[in-house]
Amino acid sequence: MSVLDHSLPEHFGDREQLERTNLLGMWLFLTSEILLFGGAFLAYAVLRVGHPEGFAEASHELDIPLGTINTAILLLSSWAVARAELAAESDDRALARRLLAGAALVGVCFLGIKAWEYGVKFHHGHVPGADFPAAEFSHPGGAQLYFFLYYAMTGLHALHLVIGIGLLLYTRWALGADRKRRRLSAGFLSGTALYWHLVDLIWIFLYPLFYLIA
Amino acid sequence: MSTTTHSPDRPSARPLLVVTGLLLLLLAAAVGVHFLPTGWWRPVLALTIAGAKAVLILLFFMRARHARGTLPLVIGGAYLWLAILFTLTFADYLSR
Repeated sequence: MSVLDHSLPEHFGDREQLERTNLLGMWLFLTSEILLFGGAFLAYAVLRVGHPEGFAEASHELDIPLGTINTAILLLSSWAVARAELAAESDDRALARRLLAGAALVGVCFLGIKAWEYGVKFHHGHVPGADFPAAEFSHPGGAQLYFFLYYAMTGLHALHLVIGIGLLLYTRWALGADRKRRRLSAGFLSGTALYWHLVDLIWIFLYPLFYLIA
Repeated sequence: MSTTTHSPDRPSARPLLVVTGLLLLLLAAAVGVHFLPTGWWRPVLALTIAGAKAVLILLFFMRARHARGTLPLVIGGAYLWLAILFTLTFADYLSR
């Protein structure tokens, strides 16, 4: 008995059509996600062109080692999810479940590090608004715009990560479900994997734009 | 996919490890470039490295290299719309 449920709903002609439809639907959703973040990246690009000094100055406040660690562990989690997909396809249920749990744990570590970084910034008052320590910056206007985008974009990314962790844990649970319970549909695992890789992909651009531009 | 036979075109685990190694090397390169006196090339280099990482993830982790039929159009379409968004916006901002 396969780990993945390959039974065919009646509105599909064959298995290949089902898989193609599933992937097409997931990619259409990812396209909308890419354009959602695309708008944010566009705002970043326009504001950075308008306020280069403020952006460079404010980006010094970010912790490059923490950002680099987060990038590295997120890349490793993407490997784990890709490897879990392979394992499930070879019916290695135990390995797939371990890898998905590992990836979810990495996601939690990422959020922990991110929360720590936010905490340090809050402590220094580096939050746009009336209490922003404008005297610390020679271009406080640009610096505030930078911090606004930093919180908005990394926050939106963190929200996606929380959803991704939930998907990973659900997928892990469903892979362990016994025969009495519904088996995991083959498409659900590839959908979860695609979503997680997209979350990684977005961070890959957030990291240089916020941490490495100074 | 059958439960027991392994189809010959099934991706093996080794390419995933190689790609992960490359991704970590590119990350190290991005950090290295940051500490070099590259001047205004710095954002260009940083984004080029990020782009290379993105292509690796798209092709190998997200399996875009196996995409057939309308799927490549949808994947490509996302980037086409992004390109239109950026080009038209900057055509305005940079020419004011």
